[in-house]
Amino acid sequence: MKFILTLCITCFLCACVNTTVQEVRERETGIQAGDSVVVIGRNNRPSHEETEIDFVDCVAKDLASGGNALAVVSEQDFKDQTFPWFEPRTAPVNIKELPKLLEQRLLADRLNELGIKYLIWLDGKTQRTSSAGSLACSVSPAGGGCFGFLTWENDASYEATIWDTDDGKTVGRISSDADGTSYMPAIVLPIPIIARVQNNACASMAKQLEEFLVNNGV
Amino acid sequence: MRNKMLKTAMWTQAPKNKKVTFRSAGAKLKSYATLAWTVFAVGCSGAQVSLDSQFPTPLLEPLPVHAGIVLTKDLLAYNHNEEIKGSGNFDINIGVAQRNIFSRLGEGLFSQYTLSEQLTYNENVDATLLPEITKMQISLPSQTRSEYFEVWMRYEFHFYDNEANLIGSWVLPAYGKANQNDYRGNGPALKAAALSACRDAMAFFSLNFQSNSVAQRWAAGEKGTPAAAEPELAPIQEDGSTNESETTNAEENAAEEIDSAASSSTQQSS
Repeated sequence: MKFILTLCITCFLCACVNTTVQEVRERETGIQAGDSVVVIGRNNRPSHEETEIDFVDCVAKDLASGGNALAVVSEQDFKDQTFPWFEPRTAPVNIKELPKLLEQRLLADRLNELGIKYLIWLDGKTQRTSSAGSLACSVSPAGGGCFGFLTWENDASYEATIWDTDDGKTVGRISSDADGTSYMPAIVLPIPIIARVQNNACASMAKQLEEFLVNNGV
Repeated sequence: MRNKMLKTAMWTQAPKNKKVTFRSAGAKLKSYATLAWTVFAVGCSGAQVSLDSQFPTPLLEPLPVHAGIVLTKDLLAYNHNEEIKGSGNFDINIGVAQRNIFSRLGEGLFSQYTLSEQLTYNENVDATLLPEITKMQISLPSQTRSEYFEVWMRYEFHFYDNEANLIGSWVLPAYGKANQNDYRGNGPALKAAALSACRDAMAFFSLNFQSNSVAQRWAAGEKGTPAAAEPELAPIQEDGSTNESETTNAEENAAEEIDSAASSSTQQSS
């Protein structure tokens, strides 16, 4: 009974999120024993935008867990191990730069040591697209409380580009778009009903990436 | 209602067996005031950051040079302090990271390196490098109306032969940023931006070292002249090769960023 009640409250407090995932496959993929992947957020200069660290960590964590768990090298570890080749000012911006980069013997050897088969670049971010309503709270010696209603809409739009380090070519792209509206009614106590937009985009992206890399496109 | 009032009165009353003195009331008031001040101060007191982090070793073929690297007391004690109106005082101890930065650079770039604190004649090394931080600036999201904490730094690398004669200098601007949404509080975000700037400087220095004309002459064992060791150092003249022109553009961009940040902060302060 307690469990059902908790479940009902949880469902009630989570607002709806719409997620759309699209995949473009350019080449066959596959993961062998000993292969690993790395998920890196785009933060190249001079672009001022960068993907949230939370999102990159979330995708990496989801890829590394579950039934078809992949070996994932953490972004920071990868950047330290390959320093200075993947820093914001030096990282390859497009796939054409990768073969030249892999000509660096020490770098190529290090990627082999780490077993990096695929580089997954994440681009995009979550933004608040609209908000409305008002909420006022007051505190007095007799007590306090809030009254009002707030609503806001978040939109998450991410794209993963997957590079094969063996031949320096793009194997595909996956985009994950999610949007949802959160609400916060307040009658004495504010009750947040949050749309977990970024989490949904992350879960969808990771699931699709896993299938994309493991299932060989057949 | 009566019960409620009674309860409130009981709650506010002092315990019967304890005397409420002016002294204890004063102490209580003082502790509340301290707590309130702390809460207020935490909210807008800026940040104190110390870059006591480890840096990676560059993954490059080391040059066959025994380099002497001079880390002056000024460099090791470099501290950037800036009062930003409405945001508080920001203090970044970046000097504490320099020994680790140049040890890692020495390991990655040269076959052998020796750290020292003073520029002197040293026959045990092939040539000497003296780094200096000449400028540093920060900007907060509230100043730029963006989501980013930003740090700009300008290093100046002075290249000497082993007799302490100046061969030339290389000005290297570096930049780092950190999204405020990725961190909790000013301190961690500013630290991340400063770390990013240090890594940027290391990366740029590592990858462009062999294409920089002064560094090339230095590594080739060219001797400096006492006349070149004037306090005012001329900017480096690049030889126009592809890599170098890219380097120059990148350096100019970073330099422009530093200068534009300087002008905007001047405008804000005026």
